[in-house]
Amino acid sequence: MSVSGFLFYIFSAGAVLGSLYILSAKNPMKAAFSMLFVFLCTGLIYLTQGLFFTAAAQIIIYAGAVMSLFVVALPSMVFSKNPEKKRLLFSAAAISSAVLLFYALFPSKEDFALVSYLPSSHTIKDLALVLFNSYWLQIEIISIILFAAAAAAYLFISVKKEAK
Amino acid sequence: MNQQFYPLLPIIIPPLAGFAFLFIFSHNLKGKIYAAYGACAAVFLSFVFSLPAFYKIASAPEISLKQDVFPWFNILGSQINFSLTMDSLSAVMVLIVSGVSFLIHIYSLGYMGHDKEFVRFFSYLNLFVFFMLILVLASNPIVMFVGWEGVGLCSYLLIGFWYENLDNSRAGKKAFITNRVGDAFFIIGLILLISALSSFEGFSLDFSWLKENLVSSLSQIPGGTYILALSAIFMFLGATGKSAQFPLYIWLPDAMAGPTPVSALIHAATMVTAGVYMVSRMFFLYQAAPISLEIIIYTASLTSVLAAIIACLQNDIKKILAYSTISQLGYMFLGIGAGVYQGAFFHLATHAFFKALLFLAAGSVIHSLGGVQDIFKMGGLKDKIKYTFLLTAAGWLAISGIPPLSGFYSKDFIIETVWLSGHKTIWFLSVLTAGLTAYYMTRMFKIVFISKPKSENHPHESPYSMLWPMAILAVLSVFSGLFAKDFFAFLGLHETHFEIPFAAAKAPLLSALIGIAAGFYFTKENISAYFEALLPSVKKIVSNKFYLDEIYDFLIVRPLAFASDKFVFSIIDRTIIDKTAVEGSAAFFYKLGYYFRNIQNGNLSFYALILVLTAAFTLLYAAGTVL
Amino acid sequence: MKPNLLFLSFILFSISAAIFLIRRNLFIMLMALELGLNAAGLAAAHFALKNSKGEPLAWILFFFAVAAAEAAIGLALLMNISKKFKTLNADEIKELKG
Repeated sequence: MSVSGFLFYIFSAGAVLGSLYILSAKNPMKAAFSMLFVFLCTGLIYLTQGLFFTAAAQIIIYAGAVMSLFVVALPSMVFSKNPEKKRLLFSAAAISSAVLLFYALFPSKEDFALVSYLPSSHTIKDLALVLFNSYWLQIEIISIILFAAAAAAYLFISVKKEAK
Repeated sequence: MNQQFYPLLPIIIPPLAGFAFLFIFSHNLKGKIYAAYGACAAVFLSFVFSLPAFYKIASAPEISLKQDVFPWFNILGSQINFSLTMDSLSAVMVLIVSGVSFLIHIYSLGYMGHDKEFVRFFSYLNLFVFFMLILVLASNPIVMFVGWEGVGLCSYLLIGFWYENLDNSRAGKKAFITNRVGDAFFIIGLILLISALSSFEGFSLDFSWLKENLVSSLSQIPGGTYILALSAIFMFLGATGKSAQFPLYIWLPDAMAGPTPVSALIHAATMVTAGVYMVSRMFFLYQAAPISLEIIIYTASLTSVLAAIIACLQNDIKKILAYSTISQLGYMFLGIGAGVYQGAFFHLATHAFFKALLFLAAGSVIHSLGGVQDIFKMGGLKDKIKYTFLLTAAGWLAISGIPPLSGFYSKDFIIETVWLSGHKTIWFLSVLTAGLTAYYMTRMFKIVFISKPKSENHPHESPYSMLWPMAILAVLSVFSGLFAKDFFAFLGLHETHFEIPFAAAKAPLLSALIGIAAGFYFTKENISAYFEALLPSVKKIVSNKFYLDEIYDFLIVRPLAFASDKFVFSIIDRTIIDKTAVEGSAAFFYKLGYYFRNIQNGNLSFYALILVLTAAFTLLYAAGTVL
Repeated sequence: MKPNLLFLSFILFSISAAIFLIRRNLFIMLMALELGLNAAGLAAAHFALKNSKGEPLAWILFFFAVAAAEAAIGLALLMNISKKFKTLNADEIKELKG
């Protein structure tokens, strides 16, 4: 087993365990930090597979911007004093549907094992060429979406202030 | 039988137009007497339009005139059209119906002219004439049934004309329901015929086709004679409903609750004769099934004797005439049962004249006394209302069968045919009935006009609009007997002189004279009191109409009311329809909504669960694992 | 064993769905959505590596952008909801109950 494969398993285990911790965390702050940990692991997974730009983008955008946003916004939320009730039915439904889907999506053994990835020779130049040639429209739409999101977020906050 | 085309539609359209006009504009026409003039004119137009057709047939009595108005429907392979036919039988009937109706319309101008709702009255009268003409001119039994039902409807409407009085409405209801029972039998008979005929190629329900082919077709199939007999009997039962024979005559005395012109028109001259007309039309059917003729003659005999006996002790002038009508209709059916329907038909014609005259005269007396109908409150009117007195005398003599008035000829002919048919007992009963007829009519005539009144009354003579129609009818009653031979020849009967022993031939006249004498004798003051005291129980039974209405009430009406209340109303109407179907479906949807409401419980996680489950199943379906 | 990003993506996605269904805290539910998008990115990376194409990598960038926009708006909404309802428990916010 190669080093990258071994590292892949380490980091994927970390991601899974971190997300499981979110499932059971009582304190939302702890859940937010666990989420941060998951994103970091994901970024490192990309790194082990040789997708450098994607890893960098993951760390910067997800772990850096999005989670910072979560962590900063968390203290200004009012959480209820009531504890959340345990929902066994939902848990059972979620798990069973997950199992069903697993057997549906990966019906044969070859699907989930022994995938050999081709040696990655992706450079950022290739990515840039793709982005600016085929996906030009999507880039523009994404920029509009981000702009709209920023405007909407500001609007939500400012409305609250004026209501006082 | 050769058929020619002739436009017969103009005969039936004017009364329909009159009805439609009066019905639609009844609000605008309140109080306008010219609306009634229009109604009279409509019937007069019918009469006028039928004259050329009559002359056409008169010149060649074997032909018949036909008009197919519109194709109607197809039953078991036979095309039924709404078509009108006139042959010699219906020509006579059309003239009688339209002529007498016209006279009664004129009479109603005077009688009902002051009534608040005379527009409605004339509209109903016109509608009735329309349906009666359809019945008479019908080319097949289905169209005849349209007219049959229609005149039943108009009878109900007109009997219950003054509906604010509940008794009148009840009488109308009784008439309609009894009619309906008869109609059911009619339909059963008709269905028997149709289903038996359906096995033949190219069968048609036209009377002309039936006359030539019915008997020959049905004798070919096994059991055909039974079907012929059964359908004949059932259709005769239908006729008993319409023509007030036993056991369905009970509606006719109650029908006197309607205005007198209605009694004259419908319950003397036209509607009640529809049964006789129908049986005459289908006489080939009855001839082929001799048992039906037997049933007819026995029923008719029973009816005429029974009604005559009841009439002897009635006190209401219209009730006397009602029972008299029942009895005379019995005579007509006697003529049919004896095998010579032309005799019955001649009596139909003469009876239409003198019975309508008598009813109009009764109406004139009632009108002149301001609404009095009990004969013992009348009396001594012969000097005070002279014209009515004379005209009633003509009717009285006609119905009693005194020559040379028409009643003598028609009644005598029927009694002769009964003798020839071999039923000697029935012959004797019919002679007895003739005597009874003379008796009760004389009793009525004497008490109303001749005897001294018990209390003072102040009659005023009726207006000319009421007297002229009576006069015309009186002329017809007196003189139509002279045309007996031509009448019979027109209807296809040429052998009218029968060989009968002298005593038997003169017996009816003798019985009538005895009846008149008895009528004058037994109504003398002291004599009548003596006989009334003699047999009080008999008098009670007879004057209560042999309690037949009470028997019907006990046997039929009460069980029906009980069943309909306990079973049909409680179970079917309330429980099944109201509770289960109507409320049940509403409650079902309410419950459904109540439970479905919980899907939208505002719980985000619940929505998410549904979402995830749906997505999972969709993916599974797409992956082909789960159907 | 060779690494299989698709399998990992499936696990992470199902865990994210489980968090969304089981937890009632709206904040946590929002984080679960982010996790799901992250898992989608992993799947896209799998396809990029398997077929040696560069396009799935572009998709990953779009996923990042969508996630960021969603997080921003979601958090703003959550702040307003928490101020209005004084709670972020999904069970207690039932204004749209039918």
